Amino acid sequence: MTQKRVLRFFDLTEYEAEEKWLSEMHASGWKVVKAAVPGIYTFEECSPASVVYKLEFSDRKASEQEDFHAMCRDYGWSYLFSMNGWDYYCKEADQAEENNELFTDDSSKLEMIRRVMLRRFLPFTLIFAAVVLPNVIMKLLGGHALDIAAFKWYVLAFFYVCAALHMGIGFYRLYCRYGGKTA
Amino acid sequence: MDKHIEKVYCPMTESAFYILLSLQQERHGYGITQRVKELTDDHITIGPGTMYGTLSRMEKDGLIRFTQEREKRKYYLITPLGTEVLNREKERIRHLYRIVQEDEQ
Repeated sequence: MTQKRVLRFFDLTEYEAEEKWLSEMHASGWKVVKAAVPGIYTFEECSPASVVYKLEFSDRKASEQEDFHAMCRDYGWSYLFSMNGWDYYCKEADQAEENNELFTDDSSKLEMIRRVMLRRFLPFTLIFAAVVLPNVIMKLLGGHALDIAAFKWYVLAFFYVCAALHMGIGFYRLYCRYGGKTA
Repeated sequence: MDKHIEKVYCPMTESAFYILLSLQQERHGYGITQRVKELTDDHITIGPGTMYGTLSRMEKDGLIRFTQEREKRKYYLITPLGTEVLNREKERIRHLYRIVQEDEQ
């Protein structure tokens, strides 16, 4: 079976775009069989099909996962693999959109978004505050503000700020979409 | 009734109501989804993620209990506490219906 590897990066807030992309790949005859950090997807040639992909960042224990996967199979969902805390599922696309969701309630989706913010985004920003920022400040105030060594930190800080802003906007959008309803 | 139970289940969400209603008979997750589709004429669909989460929560809260596992499927049934909560919700719905009827007179 022909295989190919594709390098593509999706950040913490772009899992829905990733789901869509995997679905489009399957529709063009390539189904994903593995994914590795930082974004290396292994695809296998297949007959084009209409398949829905869903990603979940869960906090379910390993013992509960098996039960969950068994329940998923009844609904037509197959568990594929995991990457970096994210579980990948797929199922044959159904005419009725509500049958193409793992989670049919918004509060579960919001819970997951909060989990991602706590377990991934928070550490990301903490590393910036605790490691990158102090070094940048030290370099700027250390009299060697224009050294090559200093520039490495400036570039890193720049990357961090851009990434944090981009993800911040992403999280905000997700919150707006799924956090709307009250009472 | 426990304060926590009252806060979460009185009133309860529509999905929770249908799930509890369905579990007056021993069923497994997918069976409950099918029953709810039947009862609501396909208007309410409960996905596996939502179903698993709700069943776990209800079991932890004592509203339902695990009865048996057959072919890797876990079956559940409503408990006396669950019946008490369900009856309270039914009463609330009856009251709501009465008010609507009166308002339309």
